[in-house]
Amino acid sequence: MSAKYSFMQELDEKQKFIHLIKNLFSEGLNDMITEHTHFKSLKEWTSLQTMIVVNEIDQQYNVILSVEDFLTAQTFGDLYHLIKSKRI
Amino acid sequence: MSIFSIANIELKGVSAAVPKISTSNYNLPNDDEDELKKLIETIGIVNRREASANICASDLCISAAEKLINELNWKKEEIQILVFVTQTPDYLIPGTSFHIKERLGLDKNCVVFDLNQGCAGYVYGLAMISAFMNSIQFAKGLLLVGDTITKLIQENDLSLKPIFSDCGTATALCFNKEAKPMHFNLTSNGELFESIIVEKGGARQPIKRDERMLLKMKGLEVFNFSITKVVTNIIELLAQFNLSDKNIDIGVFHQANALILNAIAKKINLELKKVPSSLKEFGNTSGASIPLTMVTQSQYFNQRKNENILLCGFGVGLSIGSVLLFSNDIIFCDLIELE
Repeated sequence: MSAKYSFMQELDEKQKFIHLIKNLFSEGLNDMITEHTHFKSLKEWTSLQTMIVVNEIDQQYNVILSVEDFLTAQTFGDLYHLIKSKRI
Repeated sequence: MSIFSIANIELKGVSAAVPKISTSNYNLPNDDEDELKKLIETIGIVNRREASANICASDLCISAAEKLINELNWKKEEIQILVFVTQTPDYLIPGTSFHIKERLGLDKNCVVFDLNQGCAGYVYGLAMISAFMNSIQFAKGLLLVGDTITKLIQENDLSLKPIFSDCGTATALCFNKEAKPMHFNLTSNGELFESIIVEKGGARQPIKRDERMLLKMKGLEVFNFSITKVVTNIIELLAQFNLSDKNIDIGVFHQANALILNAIAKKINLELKKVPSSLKEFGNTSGASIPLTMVTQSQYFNQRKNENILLCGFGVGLSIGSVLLFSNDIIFCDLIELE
């Protein structure tokens, strides 16, 4: 029961994260943004957009993603897991 | 961390000069109007000033200095020290301050020197000239801070072009035993020296034929530095004097961009109404951005006399300079627009 709860909670947190990310992009990209999206392939993924994402993640999760983190991560799901690992 | 206090120095007045023609970021070449709009809203910069080929930082600073000297009714022979802070000198050799002294008609015994500093340059310059004036008891001094950074940016560089702008400023200081001390924190992170850099044109990488000196900036590195190290610098300074964010009445930050400014203000719990800005109309003017903000927002400052002001510059180096000072009767000259 507790494992199920934990799984559901995790799913919920990840969905919240993806929702947060969606709000940082234009509405037209909403359907394209999932945890599996390779963010560097998005037309809107610019240097400025990286800063907007880092700023929002810092404000919501109190985690600052580094340049190296963005070299390692490929998908929004990867970013989510990085944030989780840094919060522990 | 290097925290120290300097006594006996009073800030008497500030002036600023910008190129007359204003350029709108909305006129930048772009493929996507929405993307451009988002960029402008995020950085908070609508208009910028770009110096023409015949205007250097020294020209803008000299205009600002002449106006300030005039408004304060200072005699030029009374000025005993002048410091010029820039990254865009007239020549690589000699330093520009010597010629500025000549052009301003200052006394031959006036001490002058250049300081190579960028966005933290106003506070670094303030610390240097104040320490000098206090130790030697110079009666009057001028701090000139200015840059024409747009000359180091290519027309088609759409990451830097919308941000940077040109300006020259002058700040008048005098020795006064009644003045409240200024509290400084000057820090730097040399391991990040490549984060904002003009690689070519120095002795390490001489410029080759058909090359030009160009500014490069690693945006995310600078952003992360700003929301971590800059915040730490300010918190250390406040803590050293048993102060908190509640003791800051006004916070004037280097006008990097709105994203950075808002993030720093939030992290140190400073309400945005306490953080005047000149970004929208004048962009990021490097070391000149703090005094330019004071001049363009003079009404704001004039309504708030006798308050604790935090000035914080940060950037190239990467370096940070913060200072806590007490405002009294600082004269702010009207902005000069140089043709």
